[in-house]
Amino acid sequence: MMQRTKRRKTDAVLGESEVRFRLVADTAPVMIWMSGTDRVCSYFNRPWLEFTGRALQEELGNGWSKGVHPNDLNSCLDTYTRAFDRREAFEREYRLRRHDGGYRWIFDHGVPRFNSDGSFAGYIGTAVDLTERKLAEENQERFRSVFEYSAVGMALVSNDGRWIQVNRALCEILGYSEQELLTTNFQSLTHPDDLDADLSCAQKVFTGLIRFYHLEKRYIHKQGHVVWVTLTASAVPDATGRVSYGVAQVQDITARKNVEAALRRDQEELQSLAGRLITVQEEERKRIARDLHDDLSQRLALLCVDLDILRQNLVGSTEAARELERMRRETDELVGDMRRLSHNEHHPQWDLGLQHGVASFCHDFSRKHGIAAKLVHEGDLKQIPETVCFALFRVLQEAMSNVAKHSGADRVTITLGVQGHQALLRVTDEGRGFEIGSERGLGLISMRERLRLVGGTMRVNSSPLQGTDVEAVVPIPIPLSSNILGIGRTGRNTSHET
Amino acid sequence: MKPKLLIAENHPAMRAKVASLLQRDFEVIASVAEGLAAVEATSQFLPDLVILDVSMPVLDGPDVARRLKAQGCGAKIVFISVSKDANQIAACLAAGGDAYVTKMRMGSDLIPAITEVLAGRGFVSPDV
Repeated sequence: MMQRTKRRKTDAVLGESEVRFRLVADTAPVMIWMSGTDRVCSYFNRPWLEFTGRALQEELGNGWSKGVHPNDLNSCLDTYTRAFDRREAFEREYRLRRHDGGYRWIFDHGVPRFNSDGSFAGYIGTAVDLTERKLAEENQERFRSVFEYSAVGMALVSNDGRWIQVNRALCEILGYSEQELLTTNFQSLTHPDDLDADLSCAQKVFTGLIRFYHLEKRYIHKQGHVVWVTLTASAVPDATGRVSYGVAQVQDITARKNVEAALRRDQEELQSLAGRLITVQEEERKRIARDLHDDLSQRLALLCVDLDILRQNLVGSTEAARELERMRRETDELVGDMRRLSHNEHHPQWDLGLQHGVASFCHDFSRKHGIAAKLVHEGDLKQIPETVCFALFRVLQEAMSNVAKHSGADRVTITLGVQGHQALLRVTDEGRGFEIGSERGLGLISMRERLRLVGGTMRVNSSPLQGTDVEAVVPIPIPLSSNILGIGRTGRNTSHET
Repeated sequence: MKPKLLIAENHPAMRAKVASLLQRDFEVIASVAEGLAAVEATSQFLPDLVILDVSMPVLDGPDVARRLKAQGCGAKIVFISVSKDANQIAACLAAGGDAYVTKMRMGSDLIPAITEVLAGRGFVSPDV
């Protein structure tokens, strides 16, 4: 009797504590399950049932395991069984089907529970949905491996320039180990000439003025050589919008820079070679022309004079006189031929100035090709330095040769002038023109090259049936008179101020 | 009294030939090899007539002629050249030349040209 009363009392206490437990368990923010000494589950709290969307009856026993993802079921049960046999606590992760049919990652922590008399009573477990955390971890891991294995150098940089985190590629680009980089800052590894530009951009990022910047810059490699990179640096704002960190992406472009530099060197060398070639050619032409004109034609002229005198002094034989006359004519023609030859090579009329040289050239051109050449002068041609005269004359020769060969025009207008501080030559025809881009072999390259040597440029306008317009412009030194004008103007300004 | 002449010609053999053609009828008071010397010698020796090669270093023939005219020099000027170019002849006459003789015809034309010029007329070689 005493025994039964005690027992009832105990049951009542137990019942009361169990009711209290279930009340607490059902309002807990975690899912809770319990099992008995027979291993099978005897209880699931409301959050669990709400999660799975199943009734308590369905979950009891081993019913709950139907909701575990088939791939996770074995390990899930194994972990439980092994722990159960040893009465040990366990943790397991598995995917459990939610009421909407989707599987969620569950973290389940089970501990053995004991009766008040210390006897084993089964297990109690708490389970939480950690899908979100798991995804975040995966993202972080993915990001970490992207960061680490990226072929682009990457770094997290604090707003004072210290490297906070660097990846393998950056270490390789700069030649330092990760540990070495983390004790220094980007400023100390940046080429001194590039530091100001980088710092001023970085400051704008850290003060929020710009979100990112892109820069070609140089670092100094640990071994002392220069590394060219493209840097993209972007702000990493915190939740309040303050920028304490920046992300730097660094790509090594040293190889490209080297190739570019080599190309530039080659190009400069080629241009200077081309320039030298033209200069040498001009010198040689001048020399030949001078020799022809200064010496050979003079000597031939002398021969004419001597033949004349000889004939005047000749008495008797008319046949000898006729022969002498023929020789004299022949020699006279030789002088003319030689002059024409030297005329082609170099224009002896140069000595009489550009205007005269061009007029004479145009006159000869018209006679030779039957194309009317109209010459228009503008401004004071004497301001044009000799080297520029020479370049313009060669351009004129080339352009006129194109007119004769290709245009089919019956007239051409040549404008030669000085406008401001520029010498200008324009050759305009109304011939058949050509498609721009199809003009290879028209000597345009050599014309451009000649002009480039004296700092000038050339513009060609042409289209089929619309004629051709070639314009060469060369800057020339400011004549003395306008210098004086300039001084005068300054003087006037000063007097206005006083 | 023979008229006084000055010769400016940069080719030595040509200079000698001109002198030899003229020394019988004229007094060749100086012969020079370039334009600047021609201007100076003319101012110094005051010839009646100057024979000017068109192409000379430093100052060419037309330059010399312009300077002499600008200085008010009264000497007559006869240009000599191997060129028969009409533009060149026009430029020489415009610069103050009184005559233009092609060098190939000096044997027949030079003395008549000088005579004509000294008589106040002009002369251009007929082969141009």
